[in-house]
Amino acid sequence: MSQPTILVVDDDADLREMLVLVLASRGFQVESAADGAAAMERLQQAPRPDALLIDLRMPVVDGTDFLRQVRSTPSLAGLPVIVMSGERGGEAVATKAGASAFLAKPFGILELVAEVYRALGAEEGTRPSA
Amino acid sequence: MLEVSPGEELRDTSSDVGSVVARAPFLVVGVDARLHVTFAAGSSLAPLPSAAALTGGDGDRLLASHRALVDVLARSASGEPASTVSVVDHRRIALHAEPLPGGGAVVVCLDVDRTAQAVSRSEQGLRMLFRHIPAGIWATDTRLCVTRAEGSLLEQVPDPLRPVVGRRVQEFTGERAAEGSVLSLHQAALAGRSGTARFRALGRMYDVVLEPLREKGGSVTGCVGFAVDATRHYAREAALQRLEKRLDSAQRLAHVGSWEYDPAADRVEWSEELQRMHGMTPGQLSDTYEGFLSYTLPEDRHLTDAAVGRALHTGEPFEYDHRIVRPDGQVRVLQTRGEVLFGPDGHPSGLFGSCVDITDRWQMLEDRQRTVSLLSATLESTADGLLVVDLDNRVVAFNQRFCRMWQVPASVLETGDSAALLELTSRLVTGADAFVENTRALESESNADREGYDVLQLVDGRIVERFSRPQRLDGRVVGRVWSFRDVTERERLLRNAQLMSDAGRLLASLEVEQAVEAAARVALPLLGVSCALDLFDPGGSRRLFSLTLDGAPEVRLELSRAALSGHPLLETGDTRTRLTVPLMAQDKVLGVLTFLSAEGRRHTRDDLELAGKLGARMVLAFEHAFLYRQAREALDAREQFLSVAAHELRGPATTLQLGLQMMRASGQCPAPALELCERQLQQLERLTDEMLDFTRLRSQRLHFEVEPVDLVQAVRLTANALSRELEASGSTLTVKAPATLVGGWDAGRIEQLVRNLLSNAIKYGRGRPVEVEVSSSGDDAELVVRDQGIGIAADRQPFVFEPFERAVSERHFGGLGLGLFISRAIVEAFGGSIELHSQPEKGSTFRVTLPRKGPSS
Repeated sequence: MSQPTILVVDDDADLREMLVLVLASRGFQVESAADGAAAMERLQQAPRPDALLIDLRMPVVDGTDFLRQVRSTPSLAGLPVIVMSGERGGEAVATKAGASAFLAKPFGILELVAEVYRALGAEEGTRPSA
Repeated sequence: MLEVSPGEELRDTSSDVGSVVARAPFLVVGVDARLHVTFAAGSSLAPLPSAAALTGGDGDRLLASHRALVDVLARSASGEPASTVSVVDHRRIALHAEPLPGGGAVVVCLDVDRTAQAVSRSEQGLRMLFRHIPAGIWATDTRLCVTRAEGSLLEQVPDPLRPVVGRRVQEFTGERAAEGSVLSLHQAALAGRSGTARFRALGRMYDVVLEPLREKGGSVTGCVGFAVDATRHYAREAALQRLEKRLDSAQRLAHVGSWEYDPAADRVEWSEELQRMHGMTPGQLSDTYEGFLSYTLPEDRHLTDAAVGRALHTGEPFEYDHRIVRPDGQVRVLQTRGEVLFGPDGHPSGLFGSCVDITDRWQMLEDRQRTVSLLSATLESTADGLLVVDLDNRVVAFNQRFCRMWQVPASVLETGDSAALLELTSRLVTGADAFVENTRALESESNADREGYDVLQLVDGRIVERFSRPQRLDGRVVGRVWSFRDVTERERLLRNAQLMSDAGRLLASLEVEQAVEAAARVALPLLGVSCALDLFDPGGSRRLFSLTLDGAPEVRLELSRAALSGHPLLETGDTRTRLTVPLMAQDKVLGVLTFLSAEGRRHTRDDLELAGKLGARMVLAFEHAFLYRQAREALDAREQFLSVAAHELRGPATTLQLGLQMMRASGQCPAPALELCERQLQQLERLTDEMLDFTRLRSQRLHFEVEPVDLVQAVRLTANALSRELEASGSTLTVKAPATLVGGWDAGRIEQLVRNLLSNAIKYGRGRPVEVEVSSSGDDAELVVRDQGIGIAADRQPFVFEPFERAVSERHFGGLGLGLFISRAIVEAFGGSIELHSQPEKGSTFRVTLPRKGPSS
């Protein structure tokens, strides 16, 4: 089985690139998008990524709206989504919008990888990969 | 020597002796030591004055005009008998005067020729004469045997004392011939010496004269005794003396002096009391008229001149007041009454009268006049209207202010009719029935001693305070005094002050638009019936509110001149006035406040002033609200900025952290460089946390996770973490602590607290030792951090726990200035306290007390 594919969505190009570097160094397949619209476009195509890592605050389509959009799309409803945020109350907002896991900025490599695995594992445990 | 009873008695008996008297006219006159006529009796002995004339008021003057009489009297008054024969109109008149014991003399005047004839004609007649003269005459031989005894006096004397012909004198005088006794007088007469004596017998006084009886050759053949009953004379003399004394003491007591003025002689006689009144001792005064005048105050002399001149001219009595000056300069006021004396020709010949010292009375009168004038001036000058009524409700006094206040003509008050007055005044009062009732209640007899107070609202808008209290005389109520005070102005000022106070309270609200409307609503009844506030916004004017009372018209919106001029303005319309107050903030007109008066009423300058004040308060409220909003917005913006900045910083921090961790994992980067970057990253994260903590604290949200935390361990971990900073500063750190001290706290927050205090001590410690003490005290844990550094000035100490506060310049010491603010918030969140003790240049000590049981909630 090939390594899971993670789609990183963040408008901060540097952070996005760093996340791609870190996750790739840990053996994940990594793709990235600069905003929600681009990410949604990618999700319409196959093969679908195994998990999403998104920033809560983004231009064009906000992370919350994007998450709701994902969750309201039947084919994407079970997709593991990890939300990152530096804002207070970010976790509550994210959970309410349907996040599978939450990462409070700033975080380190260990926290990141742990959350990604947790999101993937939980999803794997509850529902079969599509 | 003879004493003769007053003329009346002689007249009474004149029918019996008429024939003798007619043939032998005589005159007997008695005088006192000062030659004043004391009595006169006898028949007409022209040209000598009649007895009646001599005993009249002018006796002394008449006597003085007969030289022969005066001479003989004056001679005998000196102590020796004197005789003379005066030829007047070819008639020989014999005058014989005898001195009277105790002063004075008596003279017997006889027409020599006619008396001789009469006597020769009638021995009997002589006897009759003697019988009717109240005297006795007797003669003795050398053995003192009575040879003759005649005269009515002898008949009155009881037998044992009466000389009886044929008896010896010793039989009725007794044998003792004491000095001055009657017997010794007889013996002296036998020896050739005359003598007089006065003695008392059987309650009467007798004057006795004894003369030797001589033959033609001169040898003594016996003696002649002569006695008169002097009882009445002495009684009168004594009475006169008593009278004079009494008069003097009466004058003294009554302060009445008497005087007599003889213009012909230019002589003024003063009574002793009158002299005393002039401040003189008797005898000191000049006795001329000019002398008399000289004691009078110069400006009053004409009064005396006029009174005296008129009286002497008209003969009328007079009375006048004049002032005199005493030698000591004291001025007294005398009241003089005078009467005129008339001469024999019926013309005024002199004046006599009395003086009373009325200075005290005059002074009292003047004082009383002064008091009355003072009272009257007070009554008129008081600011109150005053009315006094008696117990019969008659008006007895009032002042002009009362008349003006109640618009009552003085003529109505002068009638005294208080009922009419009540009727008139009640028309001016609102609530006339209650006014009348209250007034009558106080006027009623049963309430006579009650005081009253009420406030009257007049129909013309005036407010009058009414006081009423009983008028007492010697403790007895005799009437009632009403006083009325126009307090319109006072009430207006009070009302205005109340309004400004209310408005100030209302305008303190930050909801400025509602507050301004509420204030206008309070002011409206005082300032008119309609009110509006129009605000000038950049887009044009905006009516904030419009208020009206009882269907009054709304204020029309128009750009008033007041707004343009920037000054309050009073405009007069047909039936109302319009009062406009511009709301000026510096030079900018915020809007205008407008009031319309009630129909028929006009705003006053006072209203304008009040509205101006109200407008100024409204401007303050607007400015206050504006500034508050600005400040609020600035604070909000700051927090917003901090919050956003903190979050925005977390993105780069995440990137850096991930990057550093990758570099460390790759092993391609030198470890010291990596550590430096990692520490800087941590510092960045701490600053970001502080910023976020601050914004959370502003909205009262700090996140805690309470668990057992060892304070000692937290101190040691923090000290280790700060070891590089400690080393760089040169300070040493001493920790005094028990092995552990566990409490229910949040580990991260406790570490944050310790780090803040410890890093401050290192930062401001100037390389001197830093001490940390941890101890427990009862249920509390105590953390003390002490440095010996720059310290904090006393005036800055109260502010060190405030956000963005720092005791020293931020150019020399870094940080956001939030450390102590957050530390205090943490301590207080756990129910503890933090104290600072600091002295500049000596260092600071922070003492934290934390309950070990953790936050109470």
